Amino acid sequence: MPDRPTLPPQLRDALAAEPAAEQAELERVWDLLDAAAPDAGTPSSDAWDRLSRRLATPSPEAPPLRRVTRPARPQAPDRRTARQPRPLRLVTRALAVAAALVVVGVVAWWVRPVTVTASPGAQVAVALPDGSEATLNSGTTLTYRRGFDRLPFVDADRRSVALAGEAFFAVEPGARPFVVETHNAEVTVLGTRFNVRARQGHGEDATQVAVSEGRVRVATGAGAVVLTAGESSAVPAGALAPTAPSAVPAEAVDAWRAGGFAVRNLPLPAVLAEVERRWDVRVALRGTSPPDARVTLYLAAPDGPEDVLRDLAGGRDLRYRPTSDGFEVFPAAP
Amino acid sequence: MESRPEPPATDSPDFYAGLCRALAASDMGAFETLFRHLHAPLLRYASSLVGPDAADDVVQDAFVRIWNARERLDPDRSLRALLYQTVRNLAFNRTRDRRLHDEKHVEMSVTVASPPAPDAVTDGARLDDHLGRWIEALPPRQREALTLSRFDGLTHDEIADAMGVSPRTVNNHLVAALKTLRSHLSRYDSTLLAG
Repeated sequence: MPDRPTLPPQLRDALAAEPAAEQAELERVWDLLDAAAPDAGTPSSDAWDRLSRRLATPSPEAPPLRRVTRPARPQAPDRRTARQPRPLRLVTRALAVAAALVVVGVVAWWVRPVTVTASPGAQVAVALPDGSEATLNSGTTLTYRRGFDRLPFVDADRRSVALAGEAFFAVEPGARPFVVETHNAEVTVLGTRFNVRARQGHGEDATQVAVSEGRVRVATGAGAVVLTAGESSAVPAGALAPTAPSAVPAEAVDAWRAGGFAVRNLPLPAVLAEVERRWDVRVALRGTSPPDARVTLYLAAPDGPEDVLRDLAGGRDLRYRPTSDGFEVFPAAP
Repeated sequence: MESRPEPPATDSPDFYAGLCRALAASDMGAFETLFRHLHAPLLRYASSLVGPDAADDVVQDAFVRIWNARERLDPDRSLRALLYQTVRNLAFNRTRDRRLHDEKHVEMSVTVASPPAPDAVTDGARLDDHLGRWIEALPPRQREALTLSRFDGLTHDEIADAMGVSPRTVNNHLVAALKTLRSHLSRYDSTLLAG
């Protein structure tokens, strides 16, 4: 893009009405905007071809442009010979329309986001278009643009994925930032390994991020923190900014990937929901539990839901028993 | 690329007036020059109005319209402003049609995170990333005027023509936009403003 450092004359006049210091700053802003100038842009080479083909198609408003060169006929064509090329042209046109429809169809298919879902009881490994890997915990949905492209063969300016649930990411280094969008936060990296938990419901509404390698930045509208390996932060529901970084045991970051079970600072119903998703069982909570009780728990290798429930019940005056389709958890009788 | 825009000198009003006369004579070469010249910025502009998916269609349609109207073009009116205005109108028609369509059809929706807040920053973000986000967060018409003026190099008159407002309003949009960006910049790194 050609650089245009000079102010348009009318704008210069308008700024002259501001106080001198103000005027200098605003002009400086105008100059600094140069940094945000878009690239010149390289139109897809077929853009002109497509346009000129459309112009070549006769339309009521415009006469056909294409000068069709035909070998001169030895004699003046009569009506019949003049009409002969017509069916052929119709076929060509029909083929062109069909080809265009195919192209449109392919593009329409291409621009639909890819959605990968791990159902309860399952975990899914996803190979992302840039070679990065995501592992989805049970009951998680990940959505991204096919090929991280804006259009076929046109790169989007960032590698973004939308996450509802929990996933561990191993991100390939790359020039374009890798961004995980959750319901209330954005996690941006350039090449690292980290876990994002963004679940809603059962008293849980935070986005939790924990890093096992490299550095990531967690940002909301009002604030940001940078996490390094072994640190975690959360964006609680309704919070403006992420919490300050706190230490997290390395093995707990992605315990779930290795058959472990780890939760940090979650309400009891959310932990039970996690058990439900993980083993695809029903866990009902009977009676009331202290509303603000928060659970942090790490089990390296639970054999099944019961191991987690036993641990939960142990320190908390809770009991549990099996039901027809799972378990129920209830307060211990006083 | 051979389609890279030529030096700014060719952006003069005379350049477009010349193209305009050539177009009236159905000069396909002139039309291609016009296309190569404005396709990229128009695509960006359309993208900001209807999103990247529909932008290509809108720009193609705009050029078709200009071609179909080539014999009725007024050389005294900026051809560039006319193209921007056409893209703008087509974009708004499309948005309106899409809205009507969406009201009638319940479609499957995909959960997508809300757009990043203005100050949501990226790791290792440079000034241009921040500026890009702040510009995105401006009110639409301020953003539109600023982009056309600062990045696409349109004159106030051309912007006013394309947006259907007075040049004075264009000025107001620009001043308001610069003030908002200044406050972001001063919070980000006030030394930048001193430079």
